Amino acid sequence: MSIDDTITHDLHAFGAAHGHPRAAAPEPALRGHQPATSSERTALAVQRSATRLRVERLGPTHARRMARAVTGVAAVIAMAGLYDFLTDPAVSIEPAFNILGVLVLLAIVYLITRAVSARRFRRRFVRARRDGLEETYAAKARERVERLDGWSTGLAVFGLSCVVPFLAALYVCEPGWSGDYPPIAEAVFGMHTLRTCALVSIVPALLLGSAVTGGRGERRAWLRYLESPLALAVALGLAVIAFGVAISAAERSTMETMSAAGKLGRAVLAQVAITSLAAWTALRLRRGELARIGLSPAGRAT
Amino acid sequence: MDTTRFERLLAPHHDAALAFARCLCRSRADGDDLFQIALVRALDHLDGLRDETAFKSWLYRIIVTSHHNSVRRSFWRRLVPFSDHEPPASADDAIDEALGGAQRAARALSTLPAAQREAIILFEIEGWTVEQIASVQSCSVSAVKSRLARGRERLRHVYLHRLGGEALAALPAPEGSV
Repeated sequence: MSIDDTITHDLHAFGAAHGHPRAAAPEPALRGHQPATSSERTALAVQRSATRLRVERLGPTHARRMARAVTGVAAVIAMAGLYDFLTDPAVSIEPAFNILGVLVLLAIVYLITRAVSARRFRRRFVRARRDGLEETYAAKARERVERLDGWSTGLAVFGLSCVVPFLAALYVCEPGWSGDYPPIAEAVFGMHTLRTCALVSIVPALLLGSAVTGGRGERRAWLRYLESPLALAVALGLAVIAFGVAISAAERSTMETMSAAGKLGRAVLAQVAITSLAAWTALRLRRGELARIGLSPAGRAT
Repeated sequence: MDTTRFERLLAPHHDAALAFARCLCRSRADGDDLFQIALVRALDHLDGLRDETAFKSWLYRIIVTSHHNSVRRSFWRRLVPFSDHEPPASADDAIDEALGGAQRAARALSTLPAAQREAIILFEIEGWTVEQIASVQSCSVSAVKSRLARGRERLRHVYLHRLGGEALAALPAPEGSV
């Protein structure tokens, strides 16, 4: 018997030991806990794969939702802290540095939260697979993702509503943009006090979060309107009006003569526009996610 | 995801594909993992499969790609040793007279690069043609022939110099061997 014959014989024995159908049938002891018939084995394998695929599709969505919720909170905290700091007359404002600082801080928070959340999700699934609890984990993961829906939408909208006017205010402080920093900056800062942001944005943000929790949002007509292109156009129109009026008032130096109610009205108008834009963005992101995890935006599970 | 269609397509090839995945890996557990990863990927991309008659080669291509990815990943895993990580099999182990044919082949195959191992298993165990292997490995026919020749040469070398091939060759031919 040549060495080539031995190799060929060994390879066939190797194939048989791994249950290859062309080779001899595997020993019963090697079959482990597999079902006896081929069709049962196939059905079981497909079922496991489908469960795993469902969980794997949920993983990135879970991580992104968690990251959006945490970044929303971070945006509110950053805005609150820096707003007090920057409106202090004793502090010299460095607009570009602060815009970049806020953006980098929020990006870092988002990326770290997403990475940590994805890792924890994967590790939990590996543990569940080891314990044979894949189906249970898939159901729990789905529940968790649906529960996060409301938080991720509401907090993201609130965070964006707070941070966008803040960054806009910093932007108009750039000498290159305004050319005449104090009146315009005062106009924009005057419009967007923290109180206005909180009062105008937090209520709709929380309402929105509550409305979409658990997939209830798909049946509400007003939510469908909020994520339509028409809502985007209306929000952009409101934003242009609010900021245009504010800037022209600042240029005509009528800020001082404007009544408190007038200032508040303009501030509320601008904040409504920004909140609508934030809601539109968050809902569009959510729509893409629902399609990815197997929930159609127009209804429940497909 | 269309699990019914996937199950119907997979049923005739399930056992062979599972055996192929197990043959590619060093242990049955790793092979089962590889097979499941490949099935998940296949199920995920099932909509992209236009020609159902090509399902078998499509599935095997996914298994081969998943195997390459796992080999690449295990390179990084080697840099960070874990206590419960399975030590890689080595053909430099002392000659074990009690080794069965399957174990000898497993040890010898573990010394081959992934592409050669896949080609040898598909050709020798699965009985695929060189053209079919070329389509699964996404390479030319001559590349497959080269892999088969080099793989066979490497196996011969391992058998002769590391697994006591001289002694094996002197054994009488086993029953049913070619």
